[in-house]
Amino acid sequence: MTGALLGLLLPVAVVWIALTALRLRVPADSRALTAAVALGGGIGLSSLSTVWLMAHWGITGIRFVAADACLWTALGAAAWWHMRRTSAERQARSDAAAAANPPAALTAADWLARATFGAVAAVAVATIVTEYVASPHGQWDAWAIWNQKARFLVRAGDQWTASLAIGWSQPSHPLLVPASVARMWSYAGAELTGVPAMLGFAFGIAIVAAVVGALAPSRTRAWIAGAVLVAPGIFAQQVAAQTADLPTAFFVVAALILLRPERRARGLDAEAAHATLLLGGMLAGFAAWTKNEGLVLVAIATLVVAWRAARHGPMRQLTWWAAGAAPALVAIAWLKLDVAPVPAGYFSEADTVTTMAARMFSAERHAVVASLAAQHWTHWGGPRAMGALPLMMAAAAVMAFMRSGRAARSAAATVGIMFAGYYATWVLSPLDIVWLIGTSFDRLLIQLWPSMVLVVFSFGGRDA
Amino acid sequence: MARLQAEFQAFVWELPATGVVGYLEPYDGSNEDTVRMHYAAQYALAPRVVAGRVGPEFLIVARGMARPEGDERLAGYYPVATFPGGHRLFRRLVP
Repeated sequence: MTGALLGLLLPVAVVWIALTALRLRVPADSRALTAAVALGGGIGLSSLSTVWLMAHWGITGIRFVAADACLWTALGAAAWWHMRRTSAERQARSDAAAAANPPAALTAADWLARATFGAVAAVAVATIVTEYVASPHGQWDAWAIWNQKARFLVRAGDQWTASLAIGWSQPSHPLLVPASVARMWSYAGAELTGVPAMLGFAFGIAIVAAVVGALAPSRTRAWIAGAVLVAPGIFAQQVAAQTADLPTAFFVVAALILLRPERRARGLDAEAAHATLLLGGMLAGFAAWTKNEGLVLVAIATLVVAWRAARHGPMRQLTWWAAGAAPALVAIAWLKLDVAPVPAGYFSEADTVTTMAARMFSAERHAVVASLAAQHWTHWGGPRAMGALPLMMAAAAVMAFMRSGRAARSAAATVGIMFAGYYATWVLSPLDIVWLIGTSFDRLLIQLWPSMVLVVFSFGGRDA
Repeated sequence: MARLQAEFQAFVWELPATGVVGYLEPYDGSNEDTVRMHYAAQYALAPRVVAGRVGPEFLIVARGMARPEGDERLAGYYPVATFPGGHRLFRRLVP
């Protein structure tokens, strides 16, 4: 596992250094948020280089590890050199920020919130360990889709396309998770079940760090938000599932955090603002490179950035955003247009515009979908979280319309439109609707849960 | 799942490193357990493709999949090996 951990941390460290060199940490941000973004960026970028090396060039085994390690070490050296050039200026800014924001003494309520978060997180970790011991290969989709594709990559290199003949493994699904698992297995020198479990755990921690960090860890509400985020049993189950829904949730919430308009209002200089947009675009792109649902995020977030650029200028903002999203989008285009030009598993090649329109405009179908979704809606999250989803969705909607929740409005709108997209997919899919909603509702909603928590706890208009 | 995929790992030494391997579908209809067994075989034997059909040179007959009194779908195949767990490997007589 040491090799796998090294493989995980190498690109994360490189991205962390690059973030520091590009001055992406601003005073109101936290190290937790920076670490989360570095982790997501590192995993995402290294998944692209892995697909390039393994799937395109057919480099596997120790040759892959050598090539990959050289690539990331070289990138790390370049980022380090750039960081040292700007270190004096950065230190001066950091000192000034520290002097301007001295740490406040914690009250009993502050300690209680932190203790509550600690207790809830401890229960979640115990659940994750229990789930891993019971199912070391993860949930059904982990070994039927994600880890199976990782095996094809690591065992067959450029011959991994044989897996596209396996209908149930969802040929059109993107490769961030399989490529990351394959990469870490290569570093480990063995296909350890602990590797995909560790990746899931890393994304779980990153989600908590991003949400708590974005809400400012010095504030009590950030820790309450952290406790609410982790409390539903399904969160821990998805961390242990070894599937792609939790990584998608991370990229969605991280991209929305970086899209906050307040970051510019707090006086970021142009260089840092551009770098933030670049990073936001990159994380949104990785959401789409993780699961097809991420494409909805890319579309909506691009419209938000375009609208802001048109309203406040300059239009160059859109270029930075697009440049960030481009690497993942190019990889998706390669996969979907060249390698696996098939519709997603929940649609059929036999579907025509007429049949899909008939489903979309069928009142009876909408009634069935709404009824089934409502059943899952109230029970989502497990027994400890009964009713949490309707409550949080209502709270997020109220927040979006309040003056104090103005900053979270675009995030709330994005989450709402993504949910509408999931609903439309249920309506349009030719699959058995009871089975489809029953097997997808909980997973799809976990993709939006961290963003909902972020929106609800973003009152006050400063932080998200 | 861990036990099932370990059972199918035993086939690795008898099969070519790549290509399509046949898998006999259950004679009495699929259910969640039989689907899980097929998926486990695929997971264990990647990068081979374990296709749910008769015809390829090698055919995996997992326990309980063939009709007990003799399965006509196995005509033209001969048994190669039986593995722990009751799974069997067949090979076609004429390529």
